[in-house]
Amino acid sequence: MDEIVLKLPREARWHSVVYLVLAGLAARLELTVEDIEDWQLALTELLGRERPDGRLELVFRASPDQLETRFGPADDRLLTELECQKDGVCLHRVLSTLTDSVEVAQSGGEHWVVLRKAIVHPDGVH
Amino acid sequence: MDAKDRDLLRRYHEQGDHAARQQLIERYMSLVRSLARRYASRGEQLDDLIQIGAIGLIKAIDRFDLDRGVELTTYATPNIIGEIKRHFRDHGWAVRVPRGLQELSIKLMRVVEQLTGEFGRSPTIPELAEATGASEEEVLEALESSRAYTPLSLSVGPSGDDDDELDPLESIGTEEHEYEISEDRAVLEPGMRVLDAREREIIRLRFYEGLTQSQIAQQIGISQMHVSRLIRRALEKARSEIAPELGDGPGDE
Repeated sequence: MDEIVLKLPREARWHSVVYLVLAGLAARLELTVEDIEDWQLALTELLGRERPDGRLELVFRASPDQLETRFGPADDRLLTELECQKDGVCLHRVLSTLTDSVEVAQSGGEHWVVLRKAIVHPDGVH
Repeated sequence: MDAKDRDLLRRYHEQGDHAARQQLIERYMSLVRSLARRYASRGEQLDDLIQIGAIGLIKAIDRFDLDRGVELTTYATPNIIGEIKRHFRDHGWAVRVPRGLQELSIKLMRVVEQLTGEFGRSPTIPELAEATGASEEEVLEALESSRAYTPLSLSVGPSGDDDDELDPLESIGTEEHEYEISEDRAVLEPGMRVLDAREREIIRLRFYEGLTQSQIAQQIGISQMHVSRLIRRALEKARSEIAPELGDGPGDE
């Protein structure tokens, strides 16, 4: 599994760097435009809830048939919002529509949002 | 201060009445529109700037301190302008898109639709590069730029070439009661309240019905990229509404 780690300040002006990295990955992995859109929307949902202080880390893990993104460390506010299972435009509903799975993982005393989505190969082959 | 405003602000801030908040938003949308118009000549769609300005308005309503004794207009104006300026600052690179890239963006909108129809699925970046004769990097850059900045009217349909074409969403979105969702209690759920009827419909199709962007595009008769922009905008508005409910609301700032 290939891994790409991105550490950046949480300020909004750096968010476009995340999209550029994702786009580069998407081209290498031959994601479709629509899958790229879904990933971008999912990350926008997380980035849009960021407070502009502290560090932010994204770990992209790519295998031939799946892309995984770990986002964090997640603060309590983000975790609370993820737990919300109400109707409406809740974060969990949005993320789980855009990706195949949404999990919160613990590592080193910190929480990480882990998103996974299968890579559907256009011609059905890897 | 206007007695009606004061009453609505009290109902929202003191009793958590979200209907009052919604009324305040509606009362001040004309202010947002007039401020957004000042910035619309900078290459951004007026409609987009109105949506961004609305986020500033919502923040102003949420943060307004009734004891200050100022008019809501006085407090909201710098908030709305601030939100619009922040948008320009954060997307500044995107509003100065070089001409060549703009042309590629326009071409890509058409090619994405064309290849989606041809393949029966959304195309990949290498496929778009091959079809347009551009490099993969150029395709990525052009797609990215078209997200923050669309050189064409939002009304461009799948044909991609008709600015005068009637926007199918506009034509179905004028009457609230035409939407199934409006009878659904989801309308009153978090995030949905700040959305207009067409945004709610798109959100319902994507996140409740599970339709893909292409399927929604086909069903409504607009381009997939237009669907994408509408979803983005709706989610951004929803985020700004949901955040206060989770602890950023009145009194927490």
